[in-house]
Amino acid sequence: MKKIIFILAFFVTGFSALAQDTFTSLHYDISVPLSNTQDYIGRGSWRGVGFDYSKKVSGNLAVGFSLGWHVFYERKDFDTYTEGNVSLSGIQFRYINSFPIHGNVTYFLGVEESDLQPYVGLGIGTTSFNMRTEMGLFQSETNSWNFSMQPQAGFLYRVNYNVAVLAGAKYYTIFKNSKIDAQGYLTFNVGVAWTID
Amino acid sequence: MKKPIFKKLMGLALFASALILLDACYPQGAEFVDELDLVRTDFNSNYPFKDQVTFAINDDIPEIGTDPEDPEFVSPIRATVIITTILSNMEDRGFERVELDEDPDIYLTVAALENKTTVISCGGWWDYWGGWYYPPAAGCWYPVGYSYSTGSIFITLWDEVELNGPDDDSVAPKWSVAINGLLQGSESSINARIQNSIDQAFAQSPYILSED
Repeated sequence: MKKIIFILAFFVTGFSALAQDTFTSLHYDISVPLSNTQDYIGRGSWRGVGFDYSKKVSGNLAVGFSLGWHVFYERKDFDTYTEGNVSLSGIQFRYINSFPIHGNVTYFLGVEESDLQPYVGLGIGTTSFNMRTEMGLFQSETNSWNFSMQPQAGFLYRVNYNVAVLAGAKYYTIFKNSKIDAQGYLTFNVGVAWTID
Repeated sequence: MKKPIFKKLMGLALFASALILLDACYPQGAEFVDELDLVRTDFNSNYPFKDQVTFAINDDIPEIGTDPEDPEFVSPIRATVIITTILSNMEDRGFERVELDEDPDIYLTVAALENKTTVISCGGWWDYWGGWYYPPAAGCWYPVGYSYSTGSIFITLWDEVELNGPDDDSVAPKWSVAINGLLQGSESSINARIQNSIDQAFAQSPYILSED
């Protein structure tokens, strides 16, 4: 899989240094639920993907945007859920689909032409947060657009003239609104970054 | 020099490809029919279940939606499974079955409902082996379809005094059970699931207990 991504990245790009003005990255995300998200789904997720685009505006500072899709899923064991005088027993299948859309500011640490470029950043924007519980032949679903932000840190390591591997982490904070409580999760990102001339 | 637009968009195209890959491994939920079985109970917390001793129940189980004047009934084999499971649980909780004309303290009524749902959608060649075809229809070259049946059983507990009293408006169920699931599999497996679900209805209703 990684090979395919590399080949595609080489195919579509002309060669230039990563230190150039713009770069794009595509990463595979592993997610760990936190806070209220963890109360709803306790399991980590292997299903996630993210996309980042950044343009350097001065020195080590870049601005851009990021998109993502993170899927959480858990099959709860057979259990009884009681509210008031009503009890409901069955197996619950719980899903979260999170689609963050953030504007980002990224600051690159260290020497600009170095092969290893650590970075820190902050994204602010909105997240479409969808929670669905299936039980028996019924389901309940909550769709919500929330204000969200995402501090991040990681590094790029150049493997070729204009291609680098990326490893990082992002902490997503999704703020409470009238539909859902505050949510949060951490993603670990591994991917590839490239520049386009 | 300006960058060609297709190069600019290539990253997004790759992202879209990744989304398609992710969609392909999206979790699908239930794999077995018994994972869809559901048991709901509700009760009147003011009703003195513990003071009741005798109960009556019909052996036939009418199907909801059929003509009330000439109702259809659940098959005798399945009805026997349902009634004997209810009897066994009630007796374990200290209740005693009597005939309808023997002035029981409470009545249990049982009814069933079966729904058949047919879904038709447009599919591709890959759907062929998993479904069956309608003849090609306008605007849909490969319509495929499937159907499934769901079944529900309703068990309701009534107070004899209230039920036979003069005021119809005061009659209300004291305990109600709704069991729902897919009617798929062999007769014996469906009956076993029904039995488990009725047992579960009693397990989650500890207040159904006679102490006299």
